[in-house]
Amino acid sequence: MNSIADTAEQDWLIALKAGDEAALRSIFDRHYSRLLGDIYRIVPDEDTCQDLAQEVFVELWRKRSDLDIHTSLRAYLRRAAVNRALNHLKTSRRFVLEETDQLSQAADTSSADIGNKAEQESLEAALHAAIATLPEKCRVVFSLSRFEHMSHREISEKLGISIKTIENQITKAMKTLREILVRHSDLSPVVIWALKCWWMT
Amino acid sequence: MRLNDDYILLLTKQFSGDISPEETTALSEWLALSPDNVRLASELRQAWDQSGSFDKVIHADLDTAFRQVQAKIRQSAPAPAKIVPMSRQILRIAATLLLLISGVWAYRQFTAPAPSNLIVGQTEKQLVTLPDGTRIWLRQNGAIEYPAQFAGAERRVKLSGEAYFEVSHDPAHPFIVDMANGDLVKVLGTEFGVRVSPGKTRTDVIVRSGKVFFSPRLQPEGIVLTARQKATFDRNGTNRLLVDKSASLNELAWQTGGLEFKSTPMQEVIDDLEAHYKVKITLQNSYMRTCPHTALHTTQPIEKVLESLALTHQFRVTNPAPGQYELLGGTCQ
Repeated sequence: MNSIADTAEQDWLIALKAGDEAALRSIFDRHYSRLLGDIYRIVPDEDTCQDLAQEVFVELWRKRSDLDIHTSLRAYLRRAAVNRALNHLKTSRRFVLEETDQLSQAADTSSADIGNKAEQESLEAALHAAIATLPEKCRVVFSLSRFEHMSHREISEKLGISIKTIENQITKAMKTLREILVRHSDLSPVVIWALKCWWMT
Repeated sequence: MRLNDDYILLLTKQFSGDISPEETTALSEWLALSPDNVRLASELRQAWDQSGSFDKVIHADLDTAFRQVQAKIRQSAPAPAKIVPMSRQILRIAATLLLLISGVWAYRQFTAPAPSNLIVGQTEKQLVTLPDGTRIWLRQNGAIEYPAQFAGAERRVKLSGEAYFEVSHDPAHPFIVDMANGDLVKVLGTEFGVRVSPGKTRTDVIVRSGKVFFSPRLQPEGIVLTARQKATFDRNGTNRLLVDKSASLNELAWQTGGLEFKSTPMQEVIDDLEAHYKVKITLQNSYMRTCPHTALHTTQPIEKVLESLALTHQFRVTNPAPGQYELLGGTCQ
C-alpha cells in the first residue's frame, strides 16, 4: 500500500470519529467494491453481497467513536465483511443443509454444466465458477483457507466444526478443481518434467 | 499406505502452509514413488494457484449503494442524531487559524435575508460541513450562520463563539468570517481559529497554517497573519493590534488534540494544561516555575500527562479534590 493512501485514510478515520459523514463516503468509495468480492466467495449471491457489504459501513459508522484500528483499513473491513458473511450463513441456517447443492445461488453455471462450458471459458473462469457452485460448507471452508489464509485450526474455531470435517471439505474442493483442470486442458509433458524437478529439490 | 485422497490433503496443506515436517516427509516419499503422483501433484498445484484470482466483480452504483447505507444508518439511529464528542487527535492538516469568538448569544443579532442555516454547538465539539466543503468545528455554544448555497464572489459566514476552521481552497472566492463584534477575518489560506472574549472587547486570532487577513473594526487596515502567528486586538487594552510572530499553538489543542511544549517554562506548561483540561494545578515548588519542559502530549487524560511530567521531573502528584492537582517536589534537569 502506498503511503499517500495511508495518510489519506488516517485523515478519514480521524474525521470519521468526529462524525463527518463525508469521511464515511470516502472510505466507502475506496473499499465497497472489493468487499463485494470478498463476501461473494462466501455468499455467492450478488444482492446479498451488497446488503452485507453495506452493513459493514453502517456498523463502521455506529462504532466510529470507539474505533481503534491497528491493521490497515482494508484488513479491518475485510475481516468485518467475512465475519458478517459467515454470520449470515449461520442465521439463514443453510449450513445444516450442506449437502444440497446451492445451485440457485450461483450466478454462473451449475455444476452439471461445468464440464460442457469449460471448453468455452478460460481455465481460470472455469475454476472460479466451480468455486461459486461448490456446496456451501465446502465452499466456505475452502474460501477461508484459500482467500482469507486461515489455518485449519482457525477455521475450525470460527465455524465450530471439526478439523477432520475441514480436511474432508478441502479435499473435496481440491478434487473438484482438479477435475475442472484436467477436463479443461492437458498439462504439456514439458511442464510436468519441470515440475518434477521442482518437487525433487 | 495412505489413499490418494490423503495425499491430496497433504499437498493442499503444503500449498497453504499448514503442513507438519512428518507430513512433508511422507509427501516427498509418495512423490518419489511414481510419475503419476508427480502429475497429480502438478495438477493440484495449478488448480490451487489459478483459483487464487477468484475476485468476482459486482457492478454496483456507488451513489445508490451509499444512499442505502445512509438509509440504514437513519433507521437505527436514535432521533435526533446524537453528536458524539470528538476524541481529540492531532490533525495532520496544514495550519489552522483559530478564530474564537466567545459570545453572549450574539447570533440573535444576525439577520439573514437569504435562506441560511444556523447551527449552534450543542456538545463539546461539533462538526459542521459547509456546502463548499469547508469544515468548521464549533465549540460548545459556538454558533455559525451560513447560506444554504454560496453565491457571489465571496463565501461569507457569521460566527459567534469559538470555532476552528478548515477552509476549502478556492482562491476565486475568498472566505470571510464576520464576527459578532464587527471584526472580520478573511481567509487567504487554509485553516484557522478565532476567539472573541466574553465582553466582545477582545479578539484573538491564531494561525496554524495558511494565511489570514484579520481586520478589527477599530483598525480596519488590519494585518495579514501566517503560520504560527497570533494577533490580538483588545479594545480595553492597548486598542491596537498586537502580533506574536511565533505563538504557541496550544490554544488550538481543543481541536488539534495536541499540546506542544518546547523548552516551555513549567509555569506556562501548567497554565496551558489548566486551560485545556479545565482543572486546577498547583506547582508547589516555586523554583520549578522556570524549569523548561519539552514534550508533545496528545489525546490523553490529564492524569497521564501529569504522570509523564512527574517521571521527567521527579514530581509527586496528588489529587486532593476532583479537578485539583498538586505537583510537589521536582528537579530541573
